[in-house]
Amino acid sequence: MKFFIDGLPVLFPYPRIYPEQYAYMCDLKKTLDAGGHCVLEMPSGTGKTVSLLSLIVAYQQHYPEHRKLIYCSRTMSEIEKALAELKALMKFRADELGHVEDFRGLGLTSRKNLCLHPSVKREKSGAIVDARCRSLTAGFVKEKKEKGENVDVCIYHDNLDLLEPHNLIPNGVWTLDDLLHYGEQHKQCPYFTARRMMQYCNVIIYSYHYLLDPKIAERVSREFSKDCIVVFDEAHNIDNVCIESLSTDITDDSLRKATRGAQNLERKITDMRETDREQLENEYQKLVEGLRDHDEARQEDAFMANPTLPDDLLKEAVPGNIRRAEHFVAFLKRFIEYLKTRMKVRTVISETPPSFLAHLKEHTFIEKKPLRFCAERLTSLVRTLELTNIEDYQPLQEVATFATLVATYEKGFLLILEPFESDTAEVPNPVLHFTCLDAAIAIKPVFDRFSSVIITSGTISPLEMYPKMLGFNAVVQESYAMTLARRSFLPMIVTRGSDQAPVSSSFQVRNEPSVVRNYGNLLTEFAKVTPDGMVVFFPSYLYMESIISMWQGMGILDNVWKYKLILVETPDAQETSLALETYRKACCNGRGAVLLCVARGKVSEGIDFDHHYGRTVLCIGVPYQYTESRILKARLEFLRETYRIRENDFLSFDAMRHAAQCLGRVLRGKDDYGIMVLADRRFQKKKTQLPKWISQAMTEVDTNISTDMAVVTARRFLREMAQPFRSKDQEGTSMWSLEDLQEHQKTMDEERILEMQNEAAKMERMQRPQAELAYQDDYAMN
Amino acid sequence: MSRKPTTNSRGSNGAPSTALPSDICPVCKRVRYLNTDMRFLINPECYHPMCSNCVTNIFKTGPAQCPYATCNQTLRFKGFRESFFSDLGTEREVDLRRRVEAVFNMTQDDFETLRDWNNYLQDKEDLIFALVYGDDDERRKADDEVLAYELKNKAEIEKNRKKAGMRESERKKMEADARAAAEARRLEELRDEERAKAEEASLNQEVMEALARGEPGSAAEIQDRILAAKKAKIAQLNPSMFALTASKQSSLLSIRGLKPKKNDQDEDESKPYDPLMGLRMEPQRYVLHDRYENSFLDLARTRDDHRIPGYSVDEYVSRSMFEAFAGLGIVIEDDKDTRQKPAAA
Repeated sequence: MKFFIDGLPVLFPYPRIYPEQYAYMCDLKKTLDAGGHCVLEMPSGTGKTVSLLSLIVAYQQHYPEHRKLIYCSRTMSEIEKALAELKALMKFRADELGHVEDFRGLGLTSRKNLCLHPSVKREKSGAIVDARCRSLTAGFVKEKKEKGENVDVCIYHDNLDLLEPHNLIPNGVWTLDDLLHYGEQHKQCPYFTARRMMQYCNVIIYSYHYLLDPKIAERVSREFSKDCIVVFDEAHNIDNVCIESLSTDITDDSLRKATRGAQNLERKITDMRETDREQLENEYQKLVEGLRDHDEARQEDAFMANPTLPDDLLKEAVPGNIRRAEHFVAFLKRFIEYLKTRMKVRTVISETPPSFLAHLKEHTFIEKKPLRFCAERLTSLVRTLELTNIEDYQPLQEVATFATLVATYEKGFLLILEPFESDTAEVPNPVLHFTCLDAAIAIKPVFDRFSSVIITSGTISPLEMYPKMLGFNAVVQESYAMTLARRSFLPMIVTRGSDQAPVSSSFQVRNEPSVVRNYGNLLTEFAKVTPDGMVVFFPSYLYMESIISMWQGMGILDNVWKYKLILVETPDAQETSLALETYRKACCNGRGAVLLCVARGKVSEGIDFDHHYGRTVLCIGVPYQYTESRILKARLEFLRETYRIRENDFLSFDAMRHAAQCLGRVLRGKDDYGIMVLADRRFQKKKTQLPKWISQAMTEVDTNISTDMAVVTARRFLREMAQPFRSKDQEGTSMWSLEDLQEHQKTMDEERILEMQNEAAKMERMQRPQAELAYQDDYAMN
Repeated sequence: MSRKPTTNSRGSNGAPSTALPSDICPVCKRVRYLNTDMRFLINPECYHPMCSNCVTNIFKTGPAQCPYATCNQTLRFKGFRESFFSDLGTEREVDLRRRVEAVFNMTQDDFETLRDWNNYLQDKEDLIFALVYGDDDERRKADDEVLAYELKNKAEIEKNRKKAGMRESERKKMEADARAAAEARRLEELRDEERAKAEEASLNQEVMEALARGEPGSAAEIQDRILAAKKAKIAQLNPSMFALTASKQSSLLSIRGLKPKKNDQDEDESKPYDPLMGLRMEPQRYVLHDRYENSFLDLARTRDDHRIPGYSVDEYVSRSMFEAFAGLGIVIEDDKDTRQKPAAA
């Protein structure tokens, strides 16, 4: 299907298009033309990815700038899906245009997924794969090899050097599997092929972290030009990703390991002084001059990148008291010892970076400036010492990163020391949380650097919260409703049980038998009426456990058992995946199953329950965060102080986005149908915070009903859905063919013309009296 | 006296590589399991740890020798203290560092270039390393160096120390101020929020009262009217909060490190008032002579009947000179350019 948006020819790889997809594309184009950032919310299952890709690729190919697209998604499966969509799109374009375009699209993922080296790829843990890969591919290893020493190298990596550096892989779209195949055939490393070809790509698809985590972004995403188009898909959790990327936790164990790392370094330095004094001397000279060879400093195999340093600092010389290797190691040891002492305190402490630094200086004479250079200096030292078993130094690296961060930022961070795991624990297990409170810090470089950043997801309401929290201005903020030929999902808010007693998961009443029984009845009733699969979400594991045991005592589970198999999500990933498999099987063979899971768990985020895998989703209680957490409290305080977001506003926003995420699991397309039940008295007031497409479909009556009413409505709804539904019925309303689209464009144009005419008429009417007056004047003069 | 325990520490003054014991006192072998409040003390003379009981037993009565084998330091009760670090090597290093830092206490501002400052830092670090890890010779040399420097620059050191103290107290004050301001803001917000909430709560009651009074209009109209009035009031409450906090913030903002400014007004008052604001009226391109020889001026100078009252030859001369030189500083070509440009733009 080919159509035009304001003169831009768009090739859409399907014969039909949804109206909201068209609207989405129009707004995207507007944003790209205006050159700004935007926030777009489009219902899940309405083809967000394909409309995004087809518009941006059309935009790329039509305009001479060929702006690069950086598409960031959250999980591996989403990345693979996007790559497959892109591949299909490019094939369609080639067929339609009659020639293959000059186009290259690549996906990037970790070394673990892309390794071909026969022994390295067998490692289970990603960190070990990374470390072993580095030890085979680092620059000095190659130098040694050239000198004739006997060292191990990776043939796949070294083969890359024989190829043209800008043409390691031919044009086309390469999914991760394609990349592996190609690498195997041509004996070249897929990971480094992708890494090095990123500059020469039209589309790059990878995970958020490559752009948001400053430790990685510095290395991977440095060379992109300013006019790249950056897309964050599934971005409803982007603020948490930003915060996590800058936060570190330090424990006793990691400090112990860091000490060992420092001792190892010391030993290496003495060894090196005896054998290869020159090398150390060279490094020292370089540091004195402050002439850091940038290319060398940021090689792709560098040990770790600096998490924060702005460029002007990088050009500065390293402070004198950590220039010498042995001085620096002593410095690190002192810092670690200080942290160990701090960890011995048995009261909770929360302090700001400046006060931490002041205390540090008082007791160890460590100034802020050398601390700030810690990460950079460690990288340099590791490179000089030519260390290969880098994984041993991981904890030391964490400490150095922490040091750099704490010395760099005064605001937006907090140190919280929690000596005990819980309030009742007797055995101390201290953790020093260094938490970032401001999501804007990590994402700021992205907004500063790229002219168009697009943030999109299925559930990202309320839209104005994100620009506020992330500190940017959006050109376009839009939420699209879902056009449907029939009412294919039924959102309801159940506030009372059948006995008219209100239900709520608020802390005071959550364990009352009447509330628990009412929730139990709700579950039983819906298990009766729902065909096939049903998903139930609880606010936390703790509450889920307690309520399940109470249900067991009340005999409710036995009742449910008659209609459905009961499966439970656990924090353990393998157990959960087993449960999911059983669940799917039970849904397919007609036994039917109910999956009990947690609103912030794995299931709520990444797993789709399309069609018969999920006909009802039941959200028991508002999924608030654990409000007693000190980190959350600090963040709330920060948000209020800095961005004027009230505690309750943020908490309820956060709860509702998770609730919306859970509800969205069940509806994955237009031919799908499902019931969405929010069971808590408090949801009634929060209806406005749901995404537009859900809240619009909710009738006023359905916002405050009791269990028995809900069951009646659900039964009627299911009977309606059971009627035969042909895809032909959708045409024209919720699905447009080319003619429909052109019709729509024509009416839109006409409307615009009419509007302009009206405007003109209005102007004329305003001007006419004046003109007449003037005319009369003329007349009078005569 | 108890048996002298053997130790792996290096000599009397050498760096002890031991860590602070956690459970057993190395001197009396008492175990923490039996005395839960056991504390370990050290003396910065030799950094040998022992429990507080031992310290009282051995040193309370007067100075005595360290109970560790091969350590022949004489220790006093007063010198014992608790160690900040669990690693005694670090403890000793930091103590030495404290001494050096007290003497070499210059800041970056005292240096002309960054490089000099960095070299200074490195020299200091070398000195500390000599003190901490050096052998006897090196240590003695470094010690002498520190002492010599201290003697030489006593005044300077004292000045720097005071400056650092002032900076520190200023920082503390700023921090306290910021915390107090945040607290005040929070309280204010809480109060406003509560007020808004109370306002909202009283809404229902007010509507009922209005209905009971029998105000004009239908019930729905009354409700709407009161609701609108309330909304405006609540909205008023909220922005007022922001204005208040904003003004507070600005008054609390203090900027450090500004140079003292010269006050212009004081200078003005000391001088007489100048209406021309310092504009000089003397001619710059020529010098006015007292007398210009000219025959027809002579008559005007000498004969009364050639003058009318108020005529002054000097005035005439200065004026003709002014006119002769007037406009010489102006180049018309330049003037043309500047005038054409704005027209073109």
